[in-house]
Amino acid sequence: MGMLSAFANPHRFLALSNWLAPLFYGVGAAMIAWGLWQGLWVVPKDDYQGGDIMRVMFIHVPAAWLAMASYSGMAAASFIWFIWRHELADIAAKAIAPLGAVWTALCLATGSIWGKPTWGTWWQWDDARMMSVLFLFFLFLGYMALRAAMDSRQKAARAGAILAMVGALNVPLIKFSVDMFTSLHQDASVITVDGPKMAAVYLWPLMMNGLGHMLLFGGLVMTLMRAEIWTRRAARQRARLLAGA
Amino acid sequence: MMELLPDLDKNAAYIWVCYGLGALLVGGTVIGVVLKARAAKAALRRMQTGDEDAE
Amino acid sequence: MSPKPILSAFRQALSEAWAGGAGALLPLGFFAGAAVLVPLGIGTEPGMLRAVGPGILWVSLALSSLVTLERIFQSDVEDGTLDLWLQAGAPVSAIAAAKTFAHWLTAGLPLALMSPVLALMFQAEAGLSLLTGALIYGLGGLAFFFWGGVGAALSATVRRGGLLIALIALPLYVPTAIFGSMAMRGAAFGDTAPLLLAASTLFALAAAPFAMAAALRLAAD
Repeated sequence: MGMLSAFANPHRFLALSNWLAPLFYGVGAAMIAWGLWQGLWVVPKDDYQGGDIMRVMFIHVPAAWLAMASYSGMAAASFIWFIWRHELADIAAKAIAPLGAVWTALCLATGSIWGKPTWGTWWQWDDARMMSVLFLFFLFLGYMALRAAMDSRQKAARAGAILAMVGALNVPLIKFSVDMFTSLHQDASVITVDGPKMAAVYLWPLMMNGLGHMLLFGGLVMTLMRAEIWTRRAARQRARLLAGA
Repeated sequence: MMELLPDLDKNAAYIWVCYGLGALLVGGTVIGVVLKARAAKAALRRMQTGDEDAE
Repeated sequence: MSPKPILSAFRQALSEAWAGGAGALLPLGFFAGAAVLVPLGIGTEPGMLRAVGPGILWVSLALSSLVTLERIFQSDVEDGTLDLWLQAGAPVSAIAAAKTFAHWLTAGLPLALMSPVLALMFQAEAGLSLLTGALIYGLGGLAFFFWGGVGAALSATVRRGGLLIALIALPLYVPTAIFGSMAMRGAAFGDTAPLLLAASTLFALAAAPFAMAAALRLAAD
């Protein structure tokens, strides 16, 4: 219960993130470094998958995982704020959005660049995953634009929460509809009913990269939340000065 | 020096662009976020010390 | 709980949208644009037009919705009508749904009804598929207007919020656009596509009004 209060209590959160964020940065960076070394230098190339170009998966797939996981996180934080009105939950949602947008953009760019030598095209309109991730990108952008357009922090929080939840309701529908299209994209080779189809030699570096990116992302979310807490405190201070002094 | 880099096949350029983009975006984000946090903390401190000066 | 505020909101929206016959210009404008300008722009080869026609009409529907939606709630926020509704005692979600439905009637339904003519101009085969096509465009347009309405409600306080509305609405339009175009292509996807379209439209009709209501209450504060 003491740990959980770090999520509701800004003081506790600041104390926790003070050491947790740097830890996440350090471990995350180390995992990515190991994973990249393995992925680029050590593992053999797979001519069946198009040769060396498949090494792009070690950055593209983690980015895709983060794009989707971070949107879920943002939607969950928005829901928690909507029900319990913990300010930290709103701060978390606000922090996740720009970071999610960056990793989503990275996923789209690396996917497109991977596609060119593999399929001969920079973009494939009826590729299920490309399309889903593109719309995820728009959802992040829309969320940030909407919050920025509101007059006050409270309104930005409320508007953002509404949009995040409406978007979250639609994400399964979007993915389902897009999946119904024929897809050039590789069939799911990591998470399938029979367990990972990918050979272990590729799976381990992929997992390390994925986990490393997630930890790095988590550290960044915490740091942005800290920045937001301080900014809001300064604003309240200023308001008190103007009102009282 | 070139032996340090992996020997990639004909698509090497695409691979390096991807990882270069990754380094740029991820690294740039880390730097940007850390700087933003520092600025926010400094602004708060200025606000608080300014308050004490006023009193 | 009286239905009067809902009906009056509906009637008011209908008259605003149709103001002095200008309301009719919008769907006709998009229809004419699609029917006349597109072949001029991309060429008149029949096979290509037949392939492209359904998609052109989806785009026209989407654009038609985005253009009308910008005005749908903003004036109510500004002139205090919104505050009146909030006190009226009828659920705001029903009022919002009525307004959105009225706008679909003036800007979405006409396009669906005219779709057989457009389809023929785009070299479609004459037959029953033209009527089912109109039904599909009707259902799809309804979803576009309702999801777009959520964007419009959220942006009601934003000056010139058209771009914001489009940015919010675009991801929400995707399932309808996909199921709708699959339904138009008919044979390749069997009977599921029209049902999926109907289901996703019903979902929009059920969910969007509550989001619109929450957003409108926010706008009134």
